[in-house]
Amino acid sequence: MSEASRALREALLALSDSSPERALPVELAEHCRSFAARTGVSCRFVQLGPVAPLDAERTAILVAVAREGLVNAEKHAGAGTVIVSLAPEESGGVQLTVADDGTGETPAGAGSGLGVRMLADRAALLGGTVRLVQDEDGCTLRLVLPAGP
Amino acid sequence: MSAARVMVVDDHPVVRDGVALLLRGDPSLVVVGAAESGRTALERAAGLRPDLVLLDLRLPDMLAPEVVAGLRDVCPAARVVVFTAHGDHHGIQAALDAGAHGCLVKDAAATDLVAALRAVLRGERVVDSRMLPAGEATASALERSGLTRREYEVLRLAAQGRTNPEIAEFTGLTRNTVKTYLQSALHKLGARNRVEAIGKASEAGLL
Repeated sequence: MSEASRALREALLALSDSSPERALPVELAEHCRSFAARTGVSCRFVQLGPVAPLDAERTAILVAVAREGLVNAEKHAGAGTVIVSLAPEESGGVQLTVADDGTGETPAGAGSGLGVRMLADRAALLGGTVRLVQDEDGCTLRLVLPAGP
Repeated sequence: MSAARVMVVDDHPVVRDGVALLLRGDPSLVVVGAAESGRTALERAAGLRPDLVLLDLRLPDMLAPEVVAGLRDVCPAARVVVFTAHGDHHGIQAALDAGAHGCLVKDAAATDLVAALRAVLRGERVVDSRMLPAGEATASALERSGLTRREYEVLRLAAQGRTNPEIAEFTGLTRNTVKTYLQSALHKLGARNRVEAIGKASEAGLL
């Protein structure tokens, strides 16, 4: 069933003008769907406004941060809901957030810090930031990229 | 209850096949036939007796409102849902004015086709919120939720991954006030925490 759904979605995307800014939300939504199917944890993609067209490099890091956030959320104990949101940023850039409501506790030795550091380095080359915040509400990974050249 | 009879009108075979494939998983809907143009749709509809026609907004030979009116004529019991890949507000409005019962976006990233078609068959009018004039859909969802403007604003900023201190700075509110607004929003949405509240707000079409 989900395969049929994916096949149709891909076909429709190929038929409509499949520009990258249209493809990105579809891809992020697909990551959320497969995360929910794999883990049984409710996962939702939310787009908070139109995002300007992005080049391949920016698109790639947005997807990479979403994947990293989802991998981390899977490790966190007690997460009941995960949200991936994509939004325009005030200065014409773009921001992506992966938030879960787990305790943020990871199994011993799981060490997720390295992935986030590498993403932060990649984002820095584009003038952006990656930040991981853990508090009583859960865990939030956030990427902010400034407007492209 | 026997399965509802669905007819697909689209000039792209991949869409006709894709819809058939997608509906195959659901016993309450069965695709009984298809047509690749407006003219063939009107010829075949009477014989197929569909309960629901999924109609491409842009067919090569006829305008959608003409096809909708024709279908209403040859099989008045059928519900007609316009299926479009484009945010063509004029075309959609014209199709709805001609008697279509719903309008869905083809990209299907956020569309649950089966659920939407079932809703139309129950007699609901289903229009993808992306097709409504900006703001209108959110305004009515906001009214139903009982959230105040401030609570909504704080929740939207939280959905962008901002912490309470950041939201306070952005809005000029105190941290305690931000916390109070968020708590109140959580309560109104029936959520246990902010992530769940964002999920529920999104489900309700608020974000």
